[in-house]
Amino acid sequence: MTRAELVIVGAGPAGMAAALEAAEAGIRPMVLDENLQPGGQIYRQLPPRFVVSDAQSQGKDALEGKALIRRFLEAPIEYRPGTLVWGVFGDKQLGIVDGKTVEYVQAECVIIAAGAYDRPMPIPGWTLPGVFSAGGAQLFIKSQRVLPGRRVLVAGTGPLLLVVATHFLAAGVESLTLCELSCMRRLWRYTGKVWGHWGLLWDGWRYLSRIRRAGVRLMTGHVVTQIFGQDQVEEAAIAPVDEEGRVRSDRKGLVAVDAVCLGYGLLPSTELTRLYGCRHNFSESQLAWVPACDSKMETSIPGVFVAGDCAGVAGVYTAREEGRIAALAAAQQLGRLSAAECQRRMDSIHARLRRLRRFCAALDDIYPPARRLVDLTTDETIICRCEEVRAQAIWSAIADGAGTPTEIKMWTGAGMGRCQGRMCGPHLGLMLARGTGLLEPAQGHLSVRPPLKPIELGTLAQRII
Amino acid sequence: MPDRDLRVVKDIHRGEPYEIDVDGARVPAYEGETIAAVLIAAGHRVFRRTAKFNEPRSGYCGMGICFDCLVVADGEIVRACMTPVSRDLRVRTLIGHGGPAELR
Repeated sequence: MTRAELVIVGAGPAGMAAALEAAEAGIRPMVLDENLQPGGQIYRQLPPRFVVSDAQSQGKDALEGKALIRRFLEAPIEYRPGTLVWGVFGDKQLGIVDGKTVEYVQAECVIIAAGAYDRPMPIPGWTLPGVFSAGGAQLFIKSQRVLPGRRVLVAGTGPLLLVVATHFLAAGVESLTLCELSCMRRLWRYTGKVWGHWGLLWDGWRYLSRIRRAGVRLMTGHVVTQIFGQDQVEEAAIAPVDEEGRVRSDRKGLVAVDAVCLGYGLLPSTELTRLYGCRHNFSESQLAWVPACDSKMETSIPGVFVAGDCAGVAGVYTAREEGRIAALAAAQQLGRLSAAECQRRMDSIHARLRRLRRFCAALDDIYPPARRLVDLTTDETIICRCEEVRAQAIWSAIADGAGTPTEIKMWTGAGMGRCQGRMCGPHLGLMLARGTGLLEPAQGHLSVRPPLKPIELGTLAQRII
Repeated sequence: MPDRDLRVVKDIHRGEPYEIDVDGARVPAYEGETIAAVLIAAGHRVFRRTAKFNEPRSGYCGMGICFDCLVVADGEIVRACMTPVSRDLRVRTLIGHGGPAELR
């Protein structure tokens, strides 16, 4: 059994910021990250041997990420890339696997900074090759410099769509259509909440004007309703949405495309906190379960902290500040900081966090994830991509009395596959709410169990606790 | 197959060029690229066929979460989006759960 004072799960902005703050307090944290290079998704790096000729051309996120990564790699931190946390046992014992080697780590404090992923939006044809999550498509361009397609439809809701679209434009596409669910009306209502965030507003404005200048078809108040193709994407149907969020299928139009990128906001990765048994609350504004935590980012389980998007999606700047808060609180618990010193260092961070959270609340209002979108799911639509379970089977389980996502899982097999319900779980909740009228807090969330991602039995069997 | 590959060439120098074997065809790759990037760049869209309905699939999430981009690489089932290529790698389309002929 390996021992560690502080284990941080994830080397994205929150995990790296937490590790640096902990190192500052005299702790040598162990940072476990599934990726081979630090950065998480937003700061995802190019492969080591790739060299860009103009570093400035990579944009602000990349430059800020590079600076943080450099500090992270130079600090006294035990960084373990390519390492998956697949289970938690007893009191802060983590099962980890690095390739084919299983190991168990006993931690005193744990900071979970597992990030977020695109909300899956099951519509007919969404399993066809050439359909990507918006974040995934962006990663292919950003960290591999490969275009997922030449005639592209980016559809969904939220500021990420603008970022993805500009990535496509910079990389050079033949055509780009951008479909934003939000009608973007009466934006003056948010003046108070976004006031003062000139940097972020300026970023948004720059993205938008670049897209307008490039002559992109930007359609607000529209959704993609269906994707067609034989062995890959060939065409997609787009329809307007009215003020109440109803899809006007009678006014459908078609676009010829070879790639579709779906981005309906992000979902916090809560597998680890759920496995831990931390208490979670359902956020109606984000339509997602988030771990409950106090102002020091500590969950309902003492010594287990959360930071970044896995604690509620709020973007990179919030993630970095939350990472620091969690590390300071852990340092206090580990006896490295006095309560007064800890409080002193936290005060200025909390002030910044309050401002950032106001901005995020405005974004949640402007780009609401709509419950109504569950209507786009037809009976034939695959909901569980792993076990190939169609909506029909799930509706009939609900009609027969399945009342929780876990019951649907047992009756239909949805959520039982390799992704452990990451893709279908949230949608099962939406479907249940639609079918029974019971919202997620009354349903509970899908159960999770180790291993959190598939591991070969032979690998697991080498070492028993 | 598109007429030219989908790599972005502006402002970028890639690592060492490799050639990998995809279902018997030689496909260009560069050191550090993921299998998914190599396949997408070559216009190779179908990574696997599903066990139940024999449907075509490729990657969806691009970040190791959905497990839809599975392929057989040197006899092992891996996520194409999370696995970097190696010299002379043999990639096979995964059919269903994979048969003993492809798997080690």
